[in-house]
Amino acid sequence: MASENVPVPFAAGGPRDPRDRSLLSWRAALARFWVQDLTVKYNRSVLGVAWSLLNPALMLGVISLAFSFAFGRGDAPGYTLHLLSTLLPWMIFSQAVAEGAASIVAGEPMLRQFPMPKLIFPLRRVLFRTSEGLLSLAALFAVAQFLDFSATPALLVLPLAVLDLFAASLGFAAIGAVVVVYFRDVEHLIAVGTRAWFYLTPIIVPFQAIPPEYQQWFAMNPMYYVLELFDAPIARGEWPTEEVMQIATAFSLTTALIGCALVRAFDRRLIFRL
Amino acid sequence: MSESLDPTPPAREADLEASDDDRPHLRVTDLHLEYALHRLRHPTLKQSITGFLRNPSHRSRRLPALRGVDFTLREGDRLGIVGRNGAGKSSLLRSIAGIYPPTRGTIETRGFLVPLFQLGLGFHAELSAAANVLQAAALLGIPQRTMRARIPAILEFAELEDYADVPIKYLSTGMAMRLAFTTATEIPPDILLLDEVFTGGDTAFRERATARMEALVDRTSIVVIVSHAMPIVRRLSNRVLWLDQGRVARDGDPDDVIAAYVAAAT
Repeated sequence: MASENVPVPFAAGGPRDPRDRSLLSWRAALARFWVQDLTVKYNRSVLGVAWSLLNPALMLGVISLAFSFAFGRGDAPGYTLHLLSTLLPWMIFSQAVAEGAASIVAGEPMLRQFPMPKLIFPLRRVLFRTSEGLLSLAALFAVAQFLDFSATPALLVLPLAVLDLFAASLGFAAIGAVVVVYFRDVEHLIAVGTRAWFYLTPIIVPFQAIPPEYQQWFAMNPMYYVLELFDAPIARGEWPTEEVMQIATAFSLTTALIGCALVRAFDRRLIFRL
Repeated sequence: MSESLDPTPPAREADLEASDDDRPHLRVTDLHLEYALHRLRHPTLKQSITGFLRNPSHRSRRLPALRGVDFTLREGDRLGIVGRNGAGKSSLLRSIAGIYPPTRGTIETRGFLVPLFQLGLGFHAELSAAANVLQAAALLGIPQRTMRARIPAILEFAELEDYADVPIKYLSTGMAMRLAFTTATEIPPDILLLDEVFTGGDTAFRERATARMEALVDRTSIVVIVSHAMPIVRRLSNRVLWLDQGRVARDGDPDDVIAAYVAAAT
């Protein structure tokens, strides 16, 4: 530790030039945001963690109970597993996109003092929602033991599933964040849009239960492929087809690329519109 | 590092020698900054469409905030910036901090730069005092390890030793301000930008805070201070720049420039 009168060499810990807008030089701030968000969420207590995990489990239990009765299906445990494996990723996606879209506007006070790369704001929201969702997913596996869940090697596809979900969320969050700076009312349109998208995605009604003549339309929804990466290994214990993996990955990475490129392109201009 | 939209920046600042380039310095050359005044500050999609239908040829007005500012600062320079409201003081400071990209001209900085415009940014009410210190450090660019070692000293100066683990929502506003101020002034950077940062807190703390701020200025290579408080500018700076409508009206010895500014303002 340096003595009181010797200036600490900032250079040691990754200093920043005011015009250095690379995410890399702001990684410490991003890491700290992540710790902060999770700390606040889990309230630094074991009970907080337990409750945060119990909450989605209970909610899912209610929904699956309601819907398996509503559908009157005999295979209720399989349906619950399907719901578990698609609803949770969808919630991560929709919350990350909604919060990410508002994030640059919300970050205005910080942006007026620190020349941060704007991407840090949607990225922070997506990181948080994904981490939180994964913890819930882990907890739900505990619940799943009571359903007829069986662990198969197909679960090895989950890292890819998480990566694709993260990329797709980041892409839409980043695009939304730029658009909302210019058109503030789009924030509400995004909420409506993701709600509509939810009903157009085979979540409540599994893809296999959709009448065959409509299946081709639902198959045009790229989010179906991302969710299928979770659904196939968790609910059905099988590998997603190669086509599903390719479409999901191509879609997510393209979206993420477009989103990040858009934020970069507008990085220096956004401050004048905040 | 420097950014220029002007293909031929004037080479008038020859007083910075090449050998000085590795030392902390700040060079502002022919800095112009324009804001676009949009029809609506925060437009919505709806308003944009209806506005476009009504007047498709509308163009936003340009408002110049800075029109050709030049100066070079080297180690030991403490520049005070004075001027009336809207003269461009904060715009200049924020341009140097990299917030507003220049419309024209260049800003070249060397050394670690810390902007202090508003205290307590990034503080979260649910988090402990210690966690908030680390959060602030991450934004200021101070390594976490360095700051972690300083937490006891910071809490001691802010008189919050008993509150290290207490969420700051349980602190009073003054206590939280003490924490924010102490955190931000713990470690001297190479270049410090100050915009009216003088704290709240009770009288006893304010005196200690002023002394701490002066000590920080002493330990920093280059300081740029924007303030309307002339005694503070006179005490902290050894050079004063008077901005008037985005131009440098006068630049030089603090007493002369402040006297001229005060005379013109009254």
